[in-house]
Amino acid sequence: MIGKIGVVIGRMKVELYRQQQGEEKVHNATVKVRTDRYAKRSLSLIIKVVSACNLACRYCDADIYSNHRMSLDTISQIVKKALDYADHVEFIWHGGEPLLMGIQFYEKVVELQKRYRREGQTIKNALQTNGTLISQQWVDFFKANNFHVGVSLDGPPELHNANRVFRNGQGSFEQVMRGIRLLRENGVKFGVLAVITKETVRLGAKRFLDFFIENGIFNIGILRQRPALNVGRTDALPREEFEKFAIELFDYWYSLDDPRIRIRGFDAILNSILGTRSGVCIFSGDCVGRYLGITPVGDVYHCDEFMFDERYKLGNIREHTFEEILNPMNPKLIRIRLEDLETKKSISCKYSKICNYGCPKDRYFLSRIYNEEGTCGWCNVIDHIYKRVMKDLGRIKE
Amino acid sequence: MNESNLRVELKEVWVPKDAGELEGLLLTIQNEPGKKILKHKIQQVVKEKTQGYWSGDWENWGSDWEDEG
Repeated sequence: MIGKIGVVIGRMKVELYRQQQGEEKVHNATVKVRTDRYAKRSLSLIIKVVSACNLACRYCDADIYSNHRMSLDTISQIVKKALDYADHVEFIWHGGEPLLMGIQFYEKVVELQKRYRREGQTIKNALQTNGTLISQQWVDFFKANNFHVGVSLDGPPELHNANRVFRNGQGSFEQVMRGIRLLRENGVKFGVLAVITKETVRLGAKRFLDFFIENGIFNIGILRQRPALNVGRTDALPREEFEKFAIELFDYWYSLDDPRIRIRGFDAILNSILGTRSGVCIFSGDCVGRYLGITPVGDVYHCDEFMFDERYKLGNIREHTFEEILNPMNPKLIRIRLEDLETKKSISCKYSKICNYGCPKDRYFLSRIYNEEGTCGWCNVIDHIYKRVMKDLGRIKE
Repeated sequence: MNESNLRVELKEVWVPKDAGELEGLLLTIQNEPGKKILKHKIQQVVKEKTQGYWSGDWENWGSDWEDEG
């Protein structure tokens, strides 16, 4: 164990050194280094601006009842400190329902980004909404400020309304589709995220995908329903059922042979098979320290998926800088990285270089709760896609 | 495809060495019918590998967060 810790700390020292290239100080000594030799820093911040929602989706695990709202002072600190720290920053606006903050809040955000942006920095804004509050005013704002919008839409009305309901229990399908129509008609970049539940499996992959295509929706993400640990619920879609559905979906999608239709998980797996970055966090393999979740009061966690567990809280943005929070010698970060390494070590899967061992939350928590083998949860899907690609490339024969 | 029909099982996972190898693969399947998704994806990856990640294109950059609102 001591040996392992030594190796991890050694790696972290190297990382610390590398991260500090281009800065004035390395271990309190002033040095001059060539910055172009080193990778630029990137940071993706999942910012939970409000813990309230006008919906009460049956599988939701977000805090939607404490009604905390992020203050302008907190958001100002987040923007300033993020742009002080990283060369490429992705702000992912999240909730609860992030549109409940009102347009003025985001106008302020954009103003702060312009104020603190340094030359050469890249800023991206993405917003995940339930879609029910999208109006022409919002659409104009998204378009003017190049926001990428993700809308939660599970599929046709009978499927969507089974879980995505207002607080009075009424389904939200009509309101979401109205929002999507506004986005589409105004040329705003958007995609949808669909939670795959037992109802989706019953509907079937073909009808699921046909629905999106018929409605002009060509950028689709699928998420397996996970246990809502934040609210103490452990029911979820079993892994085998998700994989069976995903394989059917892949086969149908691939048979349509239309590159305009993008299904994010499949796109990411194809990227990995072809030797490039997957593009989604769950297959990135290096999410620790790159993806951070921030609560409305400024607490910073390793990803928003871990906000229910104080052991994953890395600091508070009102008290710390990202430099401090992400210092490789931060004991909390060391513990998370050690855990990340440990949970990967027990996995012997030939596809691990494609999934990079998947999402730490699936690997670690689900294996504890469901006694599932600690894998990415996509193994059979990856195996299926890989063999199909190898066949189409002529690397294996039927 | 029925997986049980596969005559050759891959022993270990193949990953292309570089953009050149991918370009070669693309050339070999270019005139075959269909496979549009695969061809498109290879073209994207070759472009990304030769131009770098931060092209400013949403399809090529972004974490694509895996979380429901």
